[in-house]
Amino acid sequence: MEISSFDKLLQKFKYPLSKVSRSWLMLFGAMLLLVFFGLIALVQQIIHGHIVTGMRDHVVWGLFIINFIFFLGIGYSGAILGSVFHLTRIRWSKPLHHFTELFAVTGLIVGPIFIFLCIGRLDRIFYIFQYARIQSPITWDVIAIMTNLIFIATYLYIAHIRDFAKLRDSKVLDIPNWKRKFIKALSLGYSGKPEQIKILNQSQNILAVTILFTAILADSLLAWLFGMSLRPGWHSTLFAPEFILVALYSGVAMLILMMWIYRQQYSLNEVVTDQHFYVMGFALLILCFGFAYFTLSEYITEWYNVSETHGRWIEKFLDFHEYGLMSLLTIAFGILIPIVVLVVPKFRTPGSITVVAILVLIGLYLKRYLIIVPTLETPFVPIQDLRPEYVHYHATWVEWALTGAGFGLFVLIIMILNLFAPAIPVADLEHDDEIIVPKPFYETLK
Amino acid sequence: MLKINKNIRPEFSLHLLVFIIVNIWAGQLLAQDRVFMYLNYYQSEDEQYMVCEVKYRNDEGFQQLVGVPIEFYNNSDTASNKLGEVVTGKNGKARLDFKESDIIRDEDGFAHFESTFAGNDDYRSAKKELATKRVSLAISGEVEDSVKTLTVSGKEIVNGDEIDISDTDIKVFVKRTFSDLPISEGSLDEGSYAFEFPNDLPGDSLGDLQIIARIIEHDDYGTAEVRTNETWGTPVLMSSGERPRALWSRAPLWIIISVTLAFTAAWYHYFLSLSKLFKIRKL
Repeated sequence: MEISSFDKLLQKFKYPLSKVSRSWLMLFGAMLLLVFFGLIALVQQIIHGHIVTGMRDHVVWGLFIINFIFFLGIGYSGAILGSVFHLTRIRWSKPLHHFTELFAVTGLIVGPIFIFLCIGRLDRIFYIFQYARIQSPITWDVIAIMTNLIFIATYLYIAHIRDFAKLRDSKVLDIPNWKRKFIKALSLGYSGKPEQIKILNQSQNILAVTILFTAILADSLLAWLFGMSLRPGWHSTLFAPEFILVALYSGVAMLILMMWIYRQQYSLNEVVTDQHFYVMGFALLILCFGFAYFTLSEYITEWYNVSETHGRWIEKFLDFHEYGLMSLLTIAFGILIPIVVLVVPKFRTPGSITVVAILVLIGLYLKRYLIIVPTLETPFVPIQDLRPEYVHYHATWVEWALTGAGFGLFVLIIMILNLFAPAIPVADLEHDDEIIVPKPFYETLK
Repeated sequence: MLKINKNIRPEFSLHLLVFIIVNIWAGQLLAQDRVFMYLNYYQSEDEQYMVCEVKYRNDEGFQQLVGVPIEFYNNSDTASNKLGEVVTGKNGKARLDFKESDIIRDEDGFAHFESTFAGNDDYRSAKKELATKRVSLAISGEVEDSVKTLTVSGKEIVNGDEIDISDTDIKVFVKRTFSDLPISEGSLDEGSYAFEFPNDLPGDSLGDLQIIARIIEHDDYGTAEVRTNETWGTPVLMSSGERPRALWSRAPLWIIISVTLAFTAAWYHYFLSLSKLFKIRKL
């Protein structure tokens, strides 16, 4: 029997849908090791307290909060990108939908874990609810993160119902019985009847609009946590839009990275095409200019402010004994290299765009470090006669181990989700006219 | 193998034994640190107490001697009366409070105190003596033509008689939040010291000030003080303005309405979306 091109596409996901491959197991094991190492560090932290971290009285936030912002940024941007792709019905973006949904959910699961790691007295965590103050941005953030996580997890599920139905009915994959039963239950009896298509679309549309609204609001709330304080580098009306732009920038970079990994792993060149890379590379370039604009605006206004505290803060970014090198790397990875590679046509290849995306992710991680630590090291009342570790923050092995565990967990969750559905929305592509090969708008203008 | 010389003379053995015993005793003495003891006496109208501070010295300088017992005595020609025993705290100090009825004074009005530390394996014993008289200080204020004059008077008490104090330094302070602000210092002359009180000191919301007059570490009186309140300060009104974003303030109505509306709208649409999912199975 001849099988359709879409069944052939589905067959590419034989591993890990039917059974897991050796390479899958090895990667899974490596990530488990990372998480296990993090657990050892966590035990140390629980036994000895936060003294095993580099956080002290003045620098009370460190890598944990940096990771929290980084992963939440990834999560919110995935939610925004997924919603926009769906609502605007951009046909060429269809193969990318599940990527955005995957890293949205995973980012929103991993990010808040770092808040728990940052809290000294976890036994008092319920005080957040017991003594919640509705006028506190922290309360808003807790509500917003939980709301978004539930919404996006549900959206991920709804977006996969057609794929679950496809898998349920498919004969081309030898899926284990237990998994097939589970997938059948998840498919909700969807069989592609016109009424079912209509209702599923309505459900997905409503949730996509809601998520777009709540994700932007939640990321803004995260920014307001900083912006509503008076500290140099934080007290800025620009912070909320900057956070959203930086989140989108890191989200597009993460999307490109996932496109490249899945394309290589599952030989998806026909579905995730070079044109996808060029289009997303172009999106990356636009966001890069936005990031450059916000960065300039942020630092030049602070630099022009001649107050003593702001002066001490801005000097740290120019001093190579402090954060000069990190600032330079942030600008190089986040602005200069992306512009050079993405603007010059002969530098633009899927590979180079992916390398730029990785550099952007590193640059934006460093940017989060520069947002948090130098400000906390610059109190309004200057620190005198204190031990050096109170003045300068240095992350310890415990924090690095837990950071590694966070990244390991991020990969693990995506790998586990991949066990139950293909990372490409095969069913959606099948019901479209063709697998769309996108063209960037500047080529369609010719 | 070790060979014992059987030709050692008995007198040499005795010398050797004495030498060893003396060395052990001297070694023990050298192993003990010398203790430095300071004894101070404090008095006011309501209370009397002694503070004994003990220190020792090592390579890093003077260190507080923590957790050692100090015995306090009141001595007279005929008896030594133990007032009590106190263990030194983290600051190396032991404080003993007592009443006038607990102690005996001599015919000149002196009470003779003694603090002792018995010593232990690590520290040598120490002793300090002190003789002090009971004094009575008083503060009185007078305002004439907007000029405020504060007078401090001091008398020593000998066998129930009050005798004016002379040629004794006295300092006057005003209590502030973190420490006492010195405002005048001079000498008690025939039992009194008067000075013009400043007009510009901030007081509490009513203008109240706590004024302290103090004789500090005097040879005969130790440290003696008296406190009184005068409404001679400038009233300072703390801002009673509303602080809308304070921890204890209530959320403004517009925030409650906005947040409630936003999240209600979001959750309404979430459940609307979910409700449609349930219909899929029925179709």
